[in-house]
Amino acid sequence: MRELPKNILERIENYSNKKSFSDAKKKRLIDIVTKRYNESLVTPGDAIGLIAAQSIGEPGTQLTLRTKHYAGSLEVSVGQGIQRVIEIVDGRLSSKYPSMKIYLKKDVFATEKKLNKFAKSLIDIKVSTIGDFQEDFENRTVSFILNHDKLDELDLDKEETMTLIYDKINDTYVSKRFTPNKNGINFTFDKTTPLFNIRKALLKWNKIPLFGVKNLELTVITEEAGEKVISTKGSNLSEVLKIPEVDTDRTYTNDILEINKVFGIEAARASIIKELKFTFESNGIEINQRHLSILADLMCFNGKVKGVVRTGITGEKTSPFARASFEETVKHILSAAFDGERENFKGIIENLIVGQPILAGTGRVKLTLDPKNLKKMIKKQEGLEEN
Amino acid sequence: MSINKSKVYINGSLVGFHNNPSKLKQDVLKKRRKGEVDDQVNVAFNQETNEVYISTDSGRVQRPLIILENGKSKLTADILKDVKEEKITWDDLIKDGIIEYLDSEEEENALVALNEKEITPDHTHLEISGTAIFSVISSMIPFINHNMAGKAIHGAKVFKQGVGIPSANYRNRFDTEMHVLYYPQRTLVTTRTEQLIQAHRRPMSQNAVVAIMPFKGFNMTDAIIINKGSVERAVGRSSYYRTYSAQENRYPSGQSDEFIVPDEKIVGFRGEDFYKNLGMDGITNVESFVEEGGVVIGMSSPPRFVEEISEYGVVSEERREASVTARKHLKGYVDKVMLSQNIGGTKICKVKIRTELIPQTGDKFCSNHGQKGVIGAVINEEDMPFTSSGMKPDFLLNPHSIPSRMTVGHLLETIAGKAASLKAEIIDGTPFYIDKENILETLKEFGFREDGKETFYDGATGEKIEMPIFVGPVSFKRLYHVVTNKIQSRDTGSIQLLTRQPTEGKEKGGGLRFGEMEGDALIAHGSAMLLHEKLIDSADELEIYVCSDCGMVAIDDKIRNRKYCPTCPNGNIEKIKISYGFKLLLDELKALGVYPKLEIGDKI
Repeated sequence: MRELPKNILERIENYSNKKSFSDAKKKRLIDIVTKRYNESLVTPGDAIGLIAAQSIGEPGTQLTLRTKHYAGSLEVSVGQGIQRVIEIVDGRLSSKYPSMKIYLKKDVFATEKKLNKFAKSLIDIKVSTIGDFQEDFENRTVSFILNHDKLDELDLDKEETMTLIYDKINDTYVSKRFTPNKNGINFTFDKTTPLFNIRKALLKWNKIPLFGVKNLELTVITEEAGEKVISTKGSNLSEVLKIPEVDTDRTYTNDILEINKVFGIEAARASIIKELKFTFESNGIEINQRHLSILADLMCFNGKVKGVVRTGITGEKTSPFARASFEETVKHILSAAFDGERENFKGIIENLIVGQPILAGTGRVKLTLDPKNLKKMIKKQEGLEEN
Repeated sequence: MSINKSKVYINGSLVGFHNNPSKLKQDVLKKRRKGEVDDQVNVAFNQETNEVYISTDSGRVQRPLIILENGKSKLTADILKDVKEEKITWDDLIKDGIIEYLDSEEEENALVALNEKEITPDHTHLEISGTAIFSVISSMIPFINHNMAGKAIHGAKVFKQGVGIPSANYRNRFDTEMHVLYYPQRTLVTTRTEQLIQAHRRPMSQNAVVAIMPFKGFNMTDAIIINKGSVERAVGRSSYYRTYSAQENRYPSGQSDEFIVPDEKIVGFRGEDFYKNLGMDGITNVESFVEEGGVVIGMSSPPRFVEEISEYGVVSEERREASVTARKHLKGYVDKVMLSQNIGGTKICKVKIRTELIPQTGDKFCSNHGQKGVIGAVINEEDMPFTSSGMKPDFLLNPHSIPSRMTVGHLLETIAGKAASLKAEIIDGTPFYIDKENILETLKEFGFREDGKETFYDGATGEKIEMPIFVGPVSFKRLYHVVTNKIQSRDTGSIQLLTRQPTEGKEKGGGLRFGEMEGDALIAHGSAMLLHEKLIDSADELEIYVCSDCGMVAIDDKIRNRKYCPTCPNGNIEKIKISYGFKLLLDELKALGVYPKLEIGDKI
């Protein structure tokens, strides 16, 4: 019988104190819990990794293939179904539908109007989002025309925006003259400027950021347990956390690699579990936490988030046969041969390839019978039974 | 330029621009209705894209509709009368511009009224009949308008798989595969389409009395219980014909194949018994019995390589056995034999073998409404449940197969079938034109319950079954998916040459693959030794000698009884057990230039 872990013992202690149990009663409780704990332990030699893979893989076949888009609704769409699971498990560098949930400190915004304004101020606005450039190559002039509807929609001040654009473009490009206007700005280039350079400059200007946080395409205010929360399309955790109104403890992004960058590997591990669980649960599938945590442990154990792909953890197996049996067989075998690698036959696939019994389950046990000792043992046993 | 003009396409290619697209469309329509333009030409105007499509090419599905003019049908009562008196034909109706064909594109411009009552001035066409929305085959299914769409499609698909009489001259034909139903019956509930295309004159189904009730669990998950008495009375009984053919090929050496009764001189002689059915010409006698894998056409081929002339100048001719044999799991009687020549003068022989297929567990049946199932059990007639009049149903369907599939048509056909058999006349079940009142009236008239249910008694105990049970005749088809052609099993048997693993596939005597996922299941279960047995012991186990010094496979010279290492002069040879697949892998590694050194250790 194994002893209970410290954590559980502490909890039993607290519970018995709270209920003021007698010592005998407390001991009985510990006995019961110890028995249950030992019963639910995995048998040594169980192929838990494979069981985890099966337990995630089989329900994975029931996941939806497509992403659901709800037309018209302001909801931020999150990748769902098998697509998202593959994205997480592969440890891809960029998520297809990154999204954030920004929690706010208590009572920072008195009115809803202010909150709305704040939410809109987060949106990443570039020069190209609020207007267009019109080129006149003959006179070598370019005029920037504001889109007033867009400005109203985004709640931006016209003059402020104008001066900002005016300043920013002034900063970045030099060989030009300009005259400010009501609806926009006119830029006149030197008569000698090659047309190609003008076009190049325009493309550059279009990308100049004006307001908001980089990568946040859309913000929507949603309600969660009576609290206003800002959901976003696009994610930029490190920048958002710098904003003073934001509650840094609870603000969350579904981009695992970004979490890894900002908070470190333990947070990334937790978010892998959380995201997988969320994806499966939104499809009405429940998976035991243990399977997911085995997967997350494996993906994170050497300090970086690594996917279950040949460039990730599968390619880092020690056994050359195990690597070769996954993908790019010849490449792995040849590189193993160049390095003079040794196959230790500790894993499952290696032994299957060779034709040896696997070292899992009943194959794990190395039991040999000594006939001399056996007789003694039988006698001893019989003696015990008689008593 | 022509930005406001609409584009005109003929068969998908842009031919020009037009100022007034709707006039262009009307002009073409008028000409078509007058007969100046072919009736298969279609015009469509898409207002959104401002484009006119004129189609004259093949591959468009068209359907006929009655033309309406100012909210009035062009098919007047007078014309109808003429049609009835056969003064006017279908072609005349089209020539006169009364009926026209629309394709899917032109249909977008049309507003079709389903019946005369709902015509408004906006409507452009009138449906000829409600049934016209169905295809030829699906409109042969009675009450199909009461079925779920998916099941209607399913029911139509089954027409292709049904066993009936495939052709009028089936006796003379030599198809590789052919099914012929013994006693096809006209359906009790028919449709007008069936009458029109005269499908009832060569039916492919039988009217089976079907009760919807469970039976001892043998009809769960879509299995069907069949009455053994019915089977003996030839319900669903059919013949299966299979043709085997051979020809006397000629080879460059001047020799050729020959239809003969092989004798002992021929290499590969199977034994006297195998050729006992063959006639003088080497072909099986008509109406003789052919065993599984028995010889159908006796044939010999010349030797593969021309023999050298021996010193005595005699060519010893060693011909090979090349007889055509019947398939495994298929025995039967020789039905017909054909001997002929092809253009080159090569002799051709075809032998048709007939097998009687008696319905048995695993054979597939289906109703018109996509209610398919395989036979789960053949029950003795005395054990079947019976009604108070002593009637025993042919089939028992599980009630669970009805509600989720919503095949109400199946139930209605049952009731209509019952009325038809009581009244001894065929009932019309054309979709949308069904006289339900009359059917129910008939049932009442003959003293049956209107809901089609009857009291049943247990066949084994004679006890009354508490709930009344829904029963009646439904047309059922036997489908050509027959177990005898599909069943397979293996214990030990043939192996593949390359991998020494068991073969795959029914014809090769293979087993069912114990695949990767199955292996994973055993690993997850922890049964390492069972996995080892399935993957190695009963597949490609190999005992091999290995040099423990250099780790290479040793040579086992069985003639001199000597085992030695090809590289080390005094290598220490050990016996190991591996899979043959691994030995192959070792060979391939060596071919790659990789030296796989085996390190040998004791098992324990």
